[in-house]
Amino acid sequence: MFTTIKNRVLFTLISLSLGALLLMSAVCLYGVFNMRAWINRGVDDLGAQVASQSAEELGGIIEHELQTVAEDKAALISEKLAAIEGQTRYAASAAEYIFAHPDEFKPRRIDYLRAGQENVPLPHLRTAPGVELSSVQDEVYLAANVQDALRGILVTDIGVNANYIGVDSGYFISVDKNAAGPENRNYDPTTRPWYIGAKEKNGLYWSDVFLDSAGRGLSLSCSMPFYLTEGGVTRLKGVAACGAVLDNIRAVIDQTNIGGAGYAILLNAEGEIMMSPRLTKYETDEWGNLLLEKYGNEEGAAELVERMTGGQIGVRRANLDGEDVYVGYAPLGVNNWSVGVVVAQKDAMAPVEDMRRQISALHDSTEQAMNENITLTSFLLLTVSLLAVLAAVALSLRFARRITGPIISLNQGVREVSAGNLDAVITVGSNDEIGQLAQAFNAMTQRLEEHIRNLAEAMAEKERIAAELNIATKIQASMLPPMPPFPDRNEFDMYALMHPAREVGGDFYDFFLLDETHLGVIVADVSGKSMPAALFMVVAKTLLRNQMQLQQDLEQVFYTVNNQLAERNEETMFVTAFAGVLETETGLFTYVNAGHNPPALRRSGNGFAWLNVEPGFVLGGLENIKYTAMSTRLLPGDMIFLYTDGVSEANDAAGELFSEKRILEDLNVLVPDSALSADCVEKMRESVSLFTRGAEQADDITMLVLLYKGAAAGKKLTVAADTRNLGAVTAFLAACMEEAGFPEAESAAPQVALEEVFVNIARYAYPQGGGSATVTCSCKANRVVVTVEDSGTPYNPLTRPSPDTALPAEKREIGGLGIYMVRTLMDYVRYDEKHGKNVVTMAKNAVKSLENL
Amino acid sequence: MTITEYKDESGIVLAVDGRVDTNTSPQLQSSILAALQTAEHVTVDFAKVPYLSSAGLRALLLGHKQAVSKGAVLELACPTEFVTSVLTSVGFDKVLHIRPKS
Repeated sequence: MFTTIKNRVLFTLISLSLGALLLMSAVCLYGVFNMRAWINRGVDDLGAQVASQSAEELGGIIEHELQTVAEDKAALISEKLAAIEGQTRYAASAAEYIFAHPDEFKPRRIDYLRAGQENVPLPHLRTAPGVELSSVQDEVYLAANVQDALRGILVTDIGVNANYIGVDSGYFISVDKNAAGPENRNYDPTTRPWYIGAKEKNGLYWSDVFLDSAGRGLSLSCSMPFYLTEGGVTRLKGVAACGAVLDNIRAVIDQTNIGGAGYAILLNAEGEIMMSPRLTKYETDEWGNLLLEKYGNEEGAAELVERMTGGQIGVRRANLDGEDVYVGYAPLGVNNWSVGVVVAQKDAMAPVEDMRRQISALHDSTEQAMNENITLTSFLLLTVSLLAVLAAVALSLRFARRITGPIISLNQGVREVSAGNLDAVITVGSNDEIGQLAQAFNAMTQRLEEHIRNLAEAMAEKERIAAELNIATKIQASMLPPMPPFPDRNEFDMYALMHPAREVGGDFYDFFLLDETHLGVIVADVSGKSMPAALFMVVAKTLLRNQMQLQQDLEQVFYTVNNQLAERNEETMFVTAFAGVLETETGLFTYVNAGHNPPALRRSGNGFAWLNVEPGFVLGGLENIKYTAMSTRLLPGDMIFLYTDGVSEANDAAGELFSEKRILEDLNVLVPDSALSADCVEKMRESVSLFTRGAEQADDITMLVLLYKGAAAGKKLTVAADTRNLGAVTAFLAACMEEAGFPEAESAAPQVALEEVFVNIARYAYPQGGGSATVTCSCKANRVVVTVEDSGTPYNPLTRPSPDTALPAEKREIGGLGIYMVRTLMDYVRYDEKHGKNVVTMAKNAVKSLENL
Repeated sequence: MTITEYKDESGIVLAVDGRVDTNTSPQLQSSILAALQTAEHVTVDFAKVPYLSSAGLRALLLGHKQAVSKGAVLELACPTEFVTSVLTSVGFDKVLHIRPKS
C-alpha cells in the first residue's frame, strides 16, 4: 500500500489531519461530558442542599411557630383559668367577710329548690344528711348573704356555670345554671373532693377534669378555703368554689390550626390526655370517674410526655397515633397541665418537599436541556469532523497528487527510457527539483542517445573492419605454404608456423623448390605489426620469392629486393629477413641475412649453436646496400631453427623476455636427435606459450625448422607393366627399405601399396600392352617415399570412390579394395600428371621411429 | 607361397605359408573352393602369412561367400599382426570368421 510516494504522502497528511481532528473532537467531547457531569452533580448537590437547608429553616420556623402557638394557647388557657381562680378567691373572701362580720348582715332567707326549679340559677340550699335547716337556720341565713356575690360571678363570661360554698356545719349554698332537682336536697360538701382538696391544701385547689354530673361535658372546679377567727383561734369555716365547663378552653384547643393542619392537646400531670380533637367521647368508671388514656410507646412519645408533664417549654418530634408529628408544648401553670400543638411532619415539611420537587424538576429539565444541547453539540462536532475528514482527504489527495504527479511523470518517463525508448521526453510541469531532475534526465537521455548512436556506428565500423581483418587473416594464412610441406621429398623435413599478434602480422616465412635439388627458405619480419606490416609483408614476400626464383645469387637477390622496397617507401618501413638455399643432394646451405636474428644450427650428434651469420642491413631501409652471402655444408641429421624476434622477445606476465639464451637451452633440452621438424616446432611453441602464459602476445611469432636428411639416394627400377614382375618390384622396395634401416616389421604395408598401384597399372594403363612402369624408392630409417610412373592412359586412381567397408560380405564387391588399401596403409598419397606421365607418390613414416620421440 | 592341406576333427585345414599377393592368391582361392567342395568346415591357417594384398582379400571373400551359399563355414585362423591390420582397415574382421592366435 505504501510502495508509492503518493500513498505515503497521502497517508501522512490524512493521518496528521485526522489525528488533530480526533484529538480536538476528543477534547471537546471530554469537556462537554465532563461539564455535564459536573453540572449534574452541582445541580443535584444544590437541590439537595437547598432542600435540606429549606427543611432545616422551615423546621426551625415551624418549631418556633409551634412553640409560640403552644405558649399562646397556654397563656390563653391560663388566662381563662386565672379568671375562674379570681372569681373563686372573690367568693371565698366574700364568705369569709360575712362570717367575720355577722353584725353587718341581716339574715336572708334561703330554701331548698322546689319542683320545677331545676336548671334555674336560683340561690338554693342543700344540707348534709342528718342536718336540718332548723338546727342551723341562723348561720345559714347569715351565710345566705353570699348569694349576691355568687350570682354576680355567675353572670361573668368566663365559663363558670356554678358557684357555691360548702360550710363545715354541713350545708351547701349554690347558684347553678344546671341545678339539680329537689330530690337532691341532701348533699354533704365536706366529703366532696373539691372541699377536701382545698382544705388539705390550705389554699387554692384545682380539681381534675371530670364529666359534669349534669351532663354538660368536661368540667373542672376551682376551690378556695375560708377561715373564721373566734376567740383568737382561726379555723377553717368552709370552702368556696366555682365549677366551670371547659367549653371555652376546649374551643381554644379545638380551634388550634396551623396552616390548615394540626391540632392541640391538653395533658394533665399524669400525662393523661385530657383534651384532643381526637378525643370526642369520655369514658367513666362505675363511680363516675373519668378514664383517660395516655400516649403509647411510639417513638418520642414518652420523652414528649415527660417534658410536658415536667412543665417545660419546647418542640419535639414524636410519633403520635402512628403519625410523625412536630409537637410544640408549654405548661399552663395549673396542676402541671401542659398544652401541646401538634402538626404532622408531612404537612409541616410539605413546602420543603414541594421545593425539593421543584428543584428536582428544574434539575431534570435543565439536565434534559443540557443533554439535548450536548447531543446536538456532539452531532454537530461529528458532522463537522466528518466534513473536515472528507475535506482533509480530498485536500490530501489533491496535495499528494500535486507533489507526486511530477514524480509519477518522471517515473513513467524513466521507465520508457529504460525500456529502450530514448526518444521519450519527460514532461514535468513544475519547475522545482523534480522539474530540474526531469530536465537533467532529458538532457542525459539525449546525450545517451547520441552516445549510443556513435557507439553503434563505431561498433558497425569495428565489425566491418573485423570482418575485413578476418578475411585478411585468411588471405595471409593462405599466402603461407601449407603444412606439412614436401611430403614426397625425403632429403629434408620441414615445418613452420606463424602466429600473428593481431589479426594479421608482419612476419612471414616461405619455402619453395627452385628446382629438383634446390630448396629456398625465407623467414622475415616487417617492422611494425598489424595491417601496415601485413601489406608491406605481402610486397616483400612476393619480391623475395620472385627474385629467388629468378636468380641463384642470394646477394644479388637481396640487393635487388632492397632497392625495390626502398624505392617509394614513404613510410620508411623495413624488413629483416633471412634467406637460404639448400642443395638437397650435397647439403650445401647458402644464406644471406638482412638484420634478422641468426638461426640456430644443430650439427648431428652435437647440440644447437648459433649459425655464423653476417648481420647485414635491413631490407627497404636504404637503397644500394651490399649483402654478403655465406654458406655451410649440412650433414644428414643437421637441423636449422629459424625464428623471428616474436619468439626471443616473447614476454611473460612479469615482463621478462623469453630470450635467445632460453631458445638455445630449450632446443638442446627439448629436441632429441630423432625429432622431426614438426616435433621441434611443436616443442618450442609449447615452451613459449608456457612461458608467456597469461600475458598478451606482443609480437608475431614465426618459427621454421629445416631438418636435412641427406641425399635422396633414390633407387630406380623400370620393368614391363606386367603382374609377372610384381615379385621383382616388391623385392626391390623391400631391399631398398632394408638397406635404409626401415623397420622390417613395418615394411609390409609399403609393399602392399606398391603392389596395388603396380597391378593397377599392369592391368589398365596399357590397353594395347607393351608399356612399362618405373618405381623409385627413397628411403630413410624412419620414412620411405615411393613413386610409380607410367606412360599409359592418363588416369588418377585416387578418384575412385572408397568402398563401403561396413557392408556385410554378401553385398561386398569383390574388387575395388586396392586403391582404398593404398590410402589406409600409407601416410601420404598423391597423383600428378607430369610430362605426360602418371605419377603416384606415396610416403610412410615408421611408426616405431616416431614412438621413439 | 605354399599351402598344406590336412584334416582335423573340424574339417579341412589349409595351412598357408608365405606371401598372399596378386600372383599367389589364385592358388589360395582354388584351394579354398576345392576344400569347400568336400568339407563343411574349412580352416585357413594364416599363422605364417606376413603379407596380404587386395587379391588375397578377394580370394578370402569369394571363399566366404561360397561357404555361406553352401551352408559351410570358412574360418581364418591365427592371422599375423599385419594381416589383422589389413583385415581391420577394410572391415573384413566383421565379415569373416576369424580365430585369433590363441
